[in-house]
Amino acid sequence: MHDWLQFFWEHIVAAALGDLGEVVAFTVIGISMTQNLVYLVLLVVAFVVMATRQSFRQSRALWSGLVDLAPPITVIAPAFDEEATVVENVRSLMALKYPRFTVVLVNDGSNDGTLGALEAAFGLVPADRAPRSELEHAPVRGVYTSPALPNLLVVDKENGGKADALNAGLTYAESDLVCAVDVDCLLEADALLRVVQPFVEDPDHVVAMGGTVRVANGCAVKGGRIKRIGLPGNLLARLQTVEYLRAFMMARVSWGRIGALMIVSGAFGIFRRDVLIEVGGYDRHTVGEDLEVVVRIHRFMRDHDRRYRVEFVPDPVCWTQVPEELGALARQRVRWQRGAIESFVRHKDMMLKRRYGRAGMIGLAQILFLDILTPLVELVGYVLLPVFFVLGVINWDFIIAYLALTFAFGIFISVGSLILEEVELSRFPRATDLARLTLVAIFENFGYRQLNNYWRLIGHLHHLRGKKGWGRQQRRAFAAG
Amino acid sequence: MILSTGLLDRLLQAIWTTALVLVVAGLIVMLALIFRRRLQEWLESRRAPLRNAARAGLMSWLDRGFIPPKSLLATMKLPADEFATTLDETAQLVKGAARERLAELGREVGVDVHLRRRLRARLAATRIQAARRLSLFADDENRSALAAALDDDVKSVRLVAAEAALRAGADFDGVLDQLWDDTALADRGAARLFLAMAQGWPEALARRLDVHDPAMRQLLALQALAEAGAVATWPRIRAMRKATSVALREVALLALVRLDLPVLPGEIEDALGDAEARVRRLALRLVPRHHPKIGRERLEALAADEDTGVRRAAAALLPSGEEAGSHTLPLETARA
Repeated sequence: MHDWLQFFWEHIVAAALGDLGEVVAFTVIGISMTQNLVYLVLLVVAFVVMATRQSFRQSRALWSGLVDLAPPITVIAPAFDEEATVVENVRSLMALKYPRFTVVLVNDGSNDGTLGALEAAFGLVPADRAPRSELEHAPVRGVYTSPALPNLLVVDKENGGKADALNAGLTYAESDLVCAVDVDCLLEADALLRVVQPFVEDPDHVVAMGGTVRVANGCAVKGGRIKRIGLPGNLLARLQTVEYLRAFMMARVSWGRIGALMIVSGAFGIFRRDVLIEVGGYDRHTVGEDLEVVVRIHRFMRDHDRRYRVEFVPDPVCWTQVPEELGALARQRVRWQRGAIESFVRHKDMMLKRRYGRAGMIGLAQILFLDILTPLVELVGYVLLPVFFVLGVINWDFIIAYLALTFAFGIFISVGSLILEEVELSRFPRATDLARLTLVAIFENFGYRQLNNYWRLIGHLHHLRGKKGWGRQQRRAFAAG
Repeated sequence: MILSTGLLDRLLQAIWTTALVLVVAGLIVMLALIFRRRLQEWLESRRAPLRNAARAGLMSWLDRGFIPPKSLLATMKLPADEFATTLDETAQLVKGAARERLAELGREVGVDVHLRRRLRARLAATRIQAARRLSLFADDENRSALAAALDDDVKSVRLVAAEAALRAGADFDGVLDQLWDDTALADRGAARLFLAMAQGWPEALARRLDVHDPAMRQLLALQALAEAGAVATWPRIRAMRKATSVALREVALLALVRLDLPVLPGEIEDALGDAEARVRRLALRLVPRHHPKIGRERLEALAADEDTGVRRAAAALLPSGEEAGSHTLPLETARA
């Protein structure tokens, strides 16, 4: 009996475990290799795009070139419990350099004195303004204008979330183009001019435009504008600085060129109003409304056989405060992951279908592969590969190759994004900033990267449990200049 | 086991070797960039105070005829190229006789000789910088050097040399004749040269407009004349509305918009009847701000245009449900 058990263990179980281990190990390294090859291609494309783009134009030249052609834009800024900062943020929006624009601030049922602060600062009076389109949103309690600022409209509504507030703003927008912004972000004075150019050049086909978002922590702010670019003192914020560089300078620039850009950041994006309304506005039942709406635009345009373009400009146009506490960052990342999964699940039928062009063949596939699958596979690799090594299933070469793919390639991609920034934009003013960012780009691969993957795993679990809502959020004032 | 095969081992080795090579190469490039930036900062920290002192000295010399000893010392410590930079920067702050005195001073200390030598440097960036600075020295020797630089191998050097030659008093037609068929003028980088020409010699530049020439230079010339606000040249710009090139017809219309002339509504009306849909679409986009009194019948006719874009743009401008002849434009544009 004992001999039989020993035989069973040695020849059946061990052999099966070995084979299974090999399959898992091959899968893990194969997926890691593919992921890194994709990143390498994105980095090369980003270098080509940046090197061949129209040279960075001065604000004055942009203004004189576009002043007569720039179409009117409605800037929609949802606000929830922003009493402390809303007045300054609105002033900053009103000071944008653009020939014709209206700011629609949507007070999304704030519990604090957001509306009161706006009334006191701008002398709001009730306005007789009817909605111009029909989109679902929570009931509107009142619409106000300011006699002093005729291009400011405040929509006060019951709480319904960011997407709901954007929809409410959209119904009151009158221009052909709308710009969705986070009210707590700082826009470059000429942000609209920089991003509107493709709409002017190809008004019939460009339907959405995104711009680069950068980290504002550590920058000096005066009068609602970035006066001096600096590095955040907080390590988490510094890690996110490199992360944002990689995401915007490398990934979005490249996906935009490839024609598979699936997200226009919720912090700043311009859309054609008619297209947004045709697709039904922002989805109120997801936390990733910025990703979801762009995927839905791709689907709608393809379903209706319309030619269209979703573009991205690499110029930095928007500055945002990133979380400096681990808890807040974790909540944000879990929410982002949940949003990505929700959008993917909803539109998975588009994937790998020729009908949906590059959005389906590449865009959705990259969401599945890069955002959903690889973080989990990487975590599996960290846990199982050492076990397989101890069991003798894999050898040293395999372990070293996996570590090289994970860490060395990770460092290369981050440093590559930094090189791209320095060669093409040089926005960081000092050499010491570059040196510090280089160190961050190296060390983010040891700990922060794994933490991010863990948060993505939690995002998966929250999605499986059907969790909804945004969770608690914190607001912080900008550093004075 | 599959994992122990030689082929797989070689593959695994190739993976980690490639990864390591890439990361080392990336870090070397990044370190070089950091070093370059640090070097620039260090040089700037050493030279900026000297340049400031030298500039103060030059201004004092222009105002009172002498250079304070401290400034003189700073000037003497500056490398020749830095002094040329300071001289150039100071010259941009003054004009007329003061500029000529600075040029005279530059000649006395040999700045022009130094710049002419730099005009033959190996690096294009150095040649560009030298050409730009030579514009201060308006004499035959420097003009000849700049004229020779119009044959440079690098486009941007030729463009900067042309601008500098014009600023140094070279004959406009002489320079343009030499450069007119140059491919450099077909480049967006020539916009600066065209703007300089439009600001300094608008009439001469306008004479070069040609309705039958579809080249980029025509487009840049039109844009520059508009940017420079060369109102006196409007008849020639207006004539370009009949250009054979569609892009030129568009840019000519936009140039007239920039000049904001009374003839503009008529030109927009005319452009609405252009054979090319692109031009009609552009004209429709200009209607709200520049031709708000357009007739309803005209818009209705355009709303039945063969081109979808024109139809849509015209329909958007047609107010719905109001009396004929009293139309106002949609709220957004009207408020603006």
